[in-house]
Amino acid sequence: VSDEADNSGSLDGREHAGRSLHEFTADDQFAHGILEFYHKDDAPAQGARVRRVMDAIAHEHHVAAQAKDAGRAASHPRTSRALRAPGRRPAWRVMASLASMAAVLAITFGLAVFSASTESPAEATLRSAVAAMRSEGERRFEVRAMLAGASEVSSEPLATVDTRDGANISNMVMRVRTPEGNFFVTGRDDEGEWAITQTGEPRRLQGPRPNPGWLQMGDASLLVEPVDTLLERLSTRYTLERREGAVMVGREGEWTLIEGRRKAGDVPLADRVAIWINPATKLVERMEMRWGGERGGKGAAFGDAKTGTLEDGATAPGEFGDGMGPEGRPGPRGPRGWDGEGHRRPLGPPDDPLGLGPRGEGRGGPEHRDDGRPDEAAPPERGPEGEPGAGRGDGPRRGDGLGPRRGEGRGPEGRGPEGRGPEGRGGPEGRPGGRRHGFEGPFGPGMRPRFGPGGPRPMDRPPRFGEPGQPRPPKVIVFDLVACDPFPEGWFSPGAHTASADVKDDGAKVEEGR
Amino acid sequence: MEEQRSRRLFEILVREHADMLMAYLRSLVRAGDIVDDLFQQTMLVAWRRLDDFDQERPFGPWLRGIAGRLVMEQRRKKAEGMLTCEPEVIEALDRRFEAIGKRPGDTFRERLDRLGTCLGRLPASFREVIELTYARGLMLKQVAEAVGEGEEAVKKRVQRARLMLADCLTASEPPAGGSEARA
Repeated sequence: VSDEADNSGSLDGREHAGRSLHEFTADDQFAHGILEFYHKDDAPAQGARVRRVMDAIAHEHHVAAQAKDAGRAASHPRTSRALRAPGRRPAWRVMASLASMAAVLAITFGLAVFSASTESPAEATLRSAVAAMRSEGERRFEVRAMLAGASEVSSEPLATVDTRDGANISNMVMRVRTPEGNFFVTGRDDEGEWAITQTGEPRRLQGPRPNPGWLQMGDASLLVEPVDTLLERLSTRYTLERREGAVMVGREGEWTLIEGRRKAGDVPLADRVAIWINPATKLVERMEMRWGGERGGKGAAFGDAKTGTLEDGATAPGEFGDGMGPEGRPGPRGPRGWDGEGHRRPLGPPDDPLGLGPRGEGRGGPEHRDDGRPDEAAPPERGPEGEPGAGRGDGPRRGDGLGPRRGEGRGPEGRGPEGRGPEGRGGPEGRPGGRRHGFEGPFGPGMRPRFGPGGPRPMDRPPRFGEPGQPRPPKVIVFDLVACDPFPEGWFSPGAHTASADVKDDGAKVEEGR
Repeated sequence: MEEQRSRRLFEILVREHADMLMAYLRSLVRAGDIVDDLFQQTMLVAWRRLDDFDQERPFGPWLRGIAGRLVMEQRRKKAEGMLTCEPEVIEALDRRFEAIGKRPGDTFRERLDRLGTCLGRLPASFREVIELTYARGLMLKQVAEAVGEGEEAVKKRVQRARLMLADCLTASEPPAGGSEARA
């Protein structure tokens, strides 16, 4: 920031009117400080500052403890004799020796403290997960939720969060839609923050998004943020525990599980969280949040915390339950149908809304398709890990009555959800998170987002649940890391998410678009 | 064990107030390295004097009090890199941060959620120079070249924009128009 621009000395009669010189200076410097803070002190920088403070405090404590020990040693009878005994080592030499011993011990302990810090194992795991999430690479999380009033977790993702090289460092796109298909899209590219207005036009935001995260959808609310940002809140606001060898709904393998209970006072954050971390990559592959003691219901990974029994009756070994189907192994999810407006219908049979049922043959079509979409809409290509699925269009000709009997049959829209191909979640090879996404489907450019007054509405401030006029809290929100093809060029810019390619840079018009 | 627990609790306080403290220090100090040093010093002093802290009172103003004294001490040693920090200015600044602290929100950032709206309400030419100065980090001369005006005119415009922002941020009533992200 320009040194000159910080100058607060030149007074202008008009600005000065009504304020004393001190008030004037304070106002000027106050706004300067806020602007500087907003543009320079992001969460990683602040986290590093806090760690430095706590390391320094720990170091100070150990140095003091060692000095105290050295003092005790000096008053010990044997040491005292050494100090007093004539003809032995001079007192100054003994003192110097003790001091050097203390210094060595202090340095040793200091280094140990520096490396171990004061973190609990769960906090340390979380910190390494945040670092991993911010490491180089492109990532997509799908967000499903059981919103207020719902009885199960949405089968369709309600949102996606795409990041490149970490959400707080570089590019990000968050797309949220209502079950009716109205969108809210916001993101950050190299030029800064942007959002798509309700009229579908891209707008550059001046500065960061105010209160990112909470959205109102009718009388319900939804929290959508990059996972690494959410993780940062956990270490201070939740009591965390770590468990190794945990199972996860719909995924094979063993995971590091961090479970957290919210400390008092941090409403509206979730009451409980569970985070499954890949022990090899340190990446968070699933994060679940729940409010109000919600046990999850159908499709939610949470079971009864004590018995591991899911609400829908399946018994699972894990503390959170593993939610697996009768065969106890995750199976492929069939592709979903379309409703004729370009919106996919929920996938999977009603007792398996997340498509996590028994391992099948990778042919989800007949069971899962519901609109009889024509062949060209879902080409018979083989997915990366899975077997050919219903993309061949061999699903039932008649859907659920909600969609047209003939699909639109248009190119990119017609492909499998997010272009992942028909293999569905987890292929026969059982690769965790093996869904592969292209960029078609309801969250890709092949699907033209619908913007309008009915769309998700970002909230000005965090919801105050229970107060008049406030939305109701969600019950469960699940973030799933999904395998992802490289994002297309320009993906993190607003032009990729609207019909209009021109990004208007006039923030004043944003208000008009509201 | 007790010591470790105390440190954990203190860390919670540090995390909760880190954003506010950084914004406060940036209001008083221009040089980034000095800001970082003062941040650490403030927190360390707070830790050492934690027994003096009146638990009936909020932690933020106490922390700002420590920071303000350290800033004045620093300025006595070396004025370079410091902004105006007379006691009256520090006191006035404290009132502004106190006003922000009383806003609803879990975090300092959440309490500042009207910043986007306030920026959006600036005249376009004001918003432009603020963005060039703060978001893009340009020097005054570069900003002047970018907008094709003289440095003095730009300097005044930046300053007027900051005053308008300060008024908007500290107003008791939220600015009309809601948040920009709603767009």
